Amino acid sequence: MTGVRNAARTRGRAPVADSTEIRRLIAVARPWLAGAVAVGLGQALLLVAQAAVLSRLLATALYGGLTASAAVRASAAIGLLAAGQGLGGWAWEAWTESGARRARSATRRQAVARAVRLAAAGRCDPGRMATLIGAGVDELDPLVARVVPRTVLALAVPALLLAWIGHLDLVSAGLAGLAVALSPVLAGLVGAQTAGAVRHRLASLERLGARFAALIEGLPLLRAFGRAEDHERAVAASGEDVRAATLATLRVALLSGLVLELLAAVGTALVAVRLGLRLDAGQHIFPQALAVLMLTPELFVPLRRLTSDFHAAATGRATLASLGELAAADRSPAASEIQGRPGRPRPGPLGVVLEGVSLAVPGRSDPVLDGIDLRICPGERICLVGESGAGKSCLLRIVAGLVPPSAGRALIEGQDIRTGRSEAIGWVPQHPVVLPASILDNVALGRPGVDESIASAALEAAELGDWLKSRRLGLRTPLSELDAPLSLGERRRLAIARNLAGPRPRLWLLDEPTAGLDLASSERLAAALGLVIGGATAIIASHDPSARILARRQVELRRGRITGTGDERTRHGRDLAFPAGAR
Amino acid sequence: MSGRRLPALDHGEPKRVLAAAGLSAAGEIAAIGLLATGAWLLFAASLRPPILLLSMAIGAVQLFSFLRGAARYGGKLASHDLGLSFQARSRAWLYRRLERLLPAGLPGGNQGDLLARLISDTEEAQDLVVRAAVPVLAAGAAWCAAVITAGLLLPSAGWVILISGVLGTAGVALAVIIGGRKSAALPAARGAVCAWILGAVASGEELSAMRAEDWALNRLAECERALGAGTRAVAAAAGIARAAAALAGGGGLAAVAYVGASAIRAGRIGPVEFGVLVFLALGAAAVLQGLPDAVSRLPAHRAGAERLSDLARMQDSAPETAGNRRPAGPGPLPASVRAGAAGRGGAGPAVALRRAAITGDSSRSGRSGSGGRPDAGQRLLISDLDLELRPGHPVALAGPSGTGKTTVLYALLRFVDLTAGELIVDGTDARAMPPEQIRALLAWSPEQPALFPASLRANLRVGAPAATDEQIAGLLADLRLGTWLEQLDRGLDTVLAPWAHPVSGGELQRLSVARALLADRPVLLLDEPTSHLDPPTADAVLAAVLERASNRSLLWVTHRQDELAQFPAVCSLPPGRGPCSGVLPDRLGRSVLHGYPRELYPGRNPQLAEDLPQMEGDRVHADVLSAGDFLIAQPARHQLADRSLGVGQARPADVRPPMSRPVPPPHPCLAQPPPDPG
Repeated sequence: MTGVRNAARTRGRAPVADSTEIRRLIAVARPWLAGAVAVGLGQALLLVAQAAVLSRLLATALYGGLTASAAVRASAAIGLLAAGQGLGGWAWEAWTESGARRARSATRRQAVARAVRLAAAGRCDPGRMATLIGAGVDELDPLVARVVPRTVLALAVPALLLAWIGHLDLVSAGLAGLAVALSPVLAGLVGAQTAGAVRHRLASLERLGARFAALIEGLPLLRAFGRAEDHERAVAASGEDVRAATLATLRVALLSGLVLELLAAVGTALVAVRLGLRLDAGQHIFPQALAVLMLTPELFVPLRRLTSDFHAAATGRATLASLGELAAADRSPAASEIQGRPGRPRPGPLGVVLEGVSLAVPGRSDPVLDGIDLRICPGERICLVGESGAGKSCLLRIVAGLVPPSAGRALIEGQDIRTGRSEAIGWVPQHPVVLPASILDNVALGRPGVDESIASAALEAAELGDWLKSRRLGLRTPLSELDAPLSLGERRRLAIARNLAGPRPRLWLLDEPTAGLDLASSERLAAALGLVIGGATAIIASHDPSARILARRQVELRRGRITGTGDERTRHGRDLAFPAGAR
Repeated sequence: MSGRRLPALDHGEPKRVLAAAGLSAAGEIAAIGLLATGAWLLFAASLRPPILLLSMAIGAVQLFSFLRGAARYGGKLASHDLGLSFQARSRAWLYRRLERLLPAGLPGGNQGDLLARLISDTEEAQDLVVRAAVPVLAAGAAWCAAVITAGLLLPSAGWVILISGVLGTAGVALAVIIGGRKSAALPAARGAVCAWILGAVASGEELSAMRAEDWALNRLAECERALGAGTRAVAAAAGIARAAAALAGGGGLAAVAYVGASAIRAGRIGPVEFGVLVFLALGAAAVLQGLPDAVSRLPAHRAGAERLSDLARMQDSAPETAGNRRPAGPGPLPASVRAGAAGRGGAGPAVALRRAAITGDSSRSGRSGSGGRPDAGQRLLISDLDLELRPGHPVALAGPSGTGKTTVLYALLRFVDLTAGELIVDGTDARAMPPEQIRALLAWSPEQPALFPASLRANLRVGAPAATDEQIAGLLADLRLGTWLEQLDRGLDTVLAPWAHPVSGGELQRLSVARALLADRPVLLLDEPTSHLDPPTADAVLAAVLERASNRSLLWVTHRQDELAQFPAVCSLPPGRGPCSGVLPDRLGRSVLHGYPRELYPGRNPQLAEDLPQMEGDRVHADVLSAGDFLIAQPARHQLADRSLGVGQARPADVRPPMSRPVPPPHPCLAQPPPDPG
């Protein structure tokens, strides 16, 4: 199955979901959908009753003898039935929406959890995920709210109606039943043509979303190089692409509706002829004939509605398949496979041991990290130096548990990182991300006990006090990336404030904390860091002397291997990694 | 089509809408006709009418049933086509609009919200036509046909159907209006959900490291609740509308039955007409049942279209030259520039800022300046700046974070407008030229480079579509990316994206510099190109750039002191303390700061011999020129010592400049750090 999906993907088309995924999707919504199906059946019964009442009324009118009371009774009955239909209509809408909402929330929650895990390992595209989980999951609504209940109704309602028609006139039921049985076959034949086009459409929509997100990032650059118009044309072209693909799908999809209508007309005509012959032969079956003729078109309505909703839900099915791929990509080795006892956490700073850690990245022939053996004592601060691309960031991410190493293992306090960590570590990345929420939320990240005073204290300690004061709404100011973007230095300080707001970490991982800052700011930041880190263990990756000063030991990485280690202060400020005189 | 307005119905569009509505209406009317004729056939057959009439009726039934199917098909296709082309055009329009608005920023906007506008709001706006307008028009036409036919047979029945239709429509409209406010919040709620998902996935690393995933998911659930309120309101409106429509339709049917029955008893009509009337009432009821689907989401559609129009109303960042539509491609250089280049031996134009002032928001820092309209809360970021870039004379730009270095670059790139002063390109005022022509002279590497999810080759060729693979490989080798390139499996075809192939910060910066160098434009603007690089690589990059740009103008933004030393001209931006002049090349070719107001240097003038680094044997106390926040340590490089003021050799030693301000102790309510073992 995965192979088929991958093959479909490489052909530029999105695969479509299978029934187990749909079943899992609606698991949460079953009660409401069952209620909706019951409502649908009830509506069918009401239809039968209405046909009975009307046929009796009209037959009485035809044969004469229509009394006022009979008319009143009939009108009242029709009115009551209408009320029932109205109630049923409201219940259908309410319950299908309820079920769809629950299925949507559950799916989104699961999908975002998976996407965040993948993003932590650096393996997913935020733009594509946002399109998939945002707009794509919205497309699941027609699938859950309409297709699923209508599939059941498309089987149940014609059966119900056929039973009643058979009770009235068996041969008509046979003729109508034949037409009804043919319709899914024909609709299916037509629908099969559209499958490929549907996949193509979803794939192009996902591409549009991902490309657009990337373009927002790089738009100033494109304008600067005068290439924005090219991309404008490309966006317009891919929009046209989506349009043409969708229209092609629709043409065929609507055609299936047309086919069903014609089939319904043919079926009704056959039944009418048959009944006409019987009437002509003198049989007094007018009420029954009328009822049968009223109900025969209704046999085809559920299937027609299902086909039109089926095509509307096609994007939803493709979304489901993409979510399935997301789930497959998220599959990480089960924690039980890795031996490790949780142990009782000891107080004090954490010690880190790396044994033979390697990391290979697909698409690169050399491994990013190759056989790293490193032992960091509790409370020790080391600095990773090396040229850019030597693997410093990757090493930090392995220690943080965000990326599993391809070989070897990383232990914190004797426990393998992959079994999970019980507490947070201090993590200051090179490019911290600002969430679209208030400053308080960005600092607190929802940790219990972090209130406004602690958040402002953390910001003060991270040298953002003045910045906070300059904000109009203080801690409640919403930060949105494009509106008032924070400079890189401010973002780093925000990341540090995040770490300060909670329980003080016992292990800090800092990736280039002072890169991009001028000398004064980096000095101050480094001093502040020195104070806040205190006696905790710290691994700092940096080129900058002001940050390197923080560490007692230096470890040099070159092409993924450790090539030197030494004490910063024993030599007279001469760097091991760099030849003398260069600084 | 004006660039600003939402591409709503333009010239040919109303006709297309009417055509689609006409087709659908024909289909619905055919359905009514089918019902009526079928009913007549049914009832009249038992009365043995003339054969001609019977066969005409049978023919009419066949015609109507075919027409119903075909016209509905055609109408749906036409309306969907309309909606889709509107959607495609509005997406393209959205992109063009964003070009104008970024990097001025969108108030209250963010990436996820924009994405939602692109994907979902365009669909909502499209539904205005497809789901709402066309079906309503068609239903109206069909209902009129039913009313007229019934009225012809029995006036009171016609009135009954009319009234029931009016009541039904009123009920539906009421239901939609009542739920309107909450449904109208639907697109915005969707945008919030999309924004949160984007933010959470983008910050996945930090959330995982800080164990905040659950909080992010709970936040998502909150946003979803808001979205759920919107969908619940839509469903409630649809449900009540359905109930109203069913009641009205059924009521109409019941009333027609009653009225018809009394008419039969009064002898005004026969049973055949009665049958036809009943079926007409059924048909009208069916038409009414179709209304809720069409209009229940109307407020949401309108809100979606409104969100798109919001973008139309926002101010552009830098006003493009009035009137003219942008030319395709960069366009030829203006004559004066070419002449100037010829005058200097073809070396390229000079770009200069004269007494420039740029306004920025005081609460903002870094990127955005909003040029031209100082509001409350905005102050002059830069005032009275003189900066000149000439070929062969590289200039460095230095200053603390937040002083507006990037804003200066934005002003040169014409992303923001100057509040005062002028930008002169080779003697011509920049405002006389379309911005594209100025940008055609500039090659820019931003502070936070962006990579597109395309191949490496495509990324590097953004500014130079004709660059060859050899040129690219040679350039990358110069920037110390040669081995990196070699060990990529697919070489220049590798797709660069964090999820496909991660690139480290330093590699990213160098790729951005390569992109700018490759573009082969007369002026290079590099914003902190070495901030993530280790010193040897940074030196190599600087040397490569200086060599390759020796006949071009170069503006290099940096914090690094040793780099500043290599530039003959340095422009520094103090944090808003007053005017600052750029630096013109020093007669001795020294790396020296000019133009600081004297009072910022109590007693320290770098040009006086006594303020030079004090020498104490092997150790050098770095001398500081303190300007409040702005520290410059004279790097103890022997190279500098050579071209310094004759002080002698300085050797690398403990260079540790003192702090200008003491660091405050951490706040008592913060958790205490583990004690320093010493």
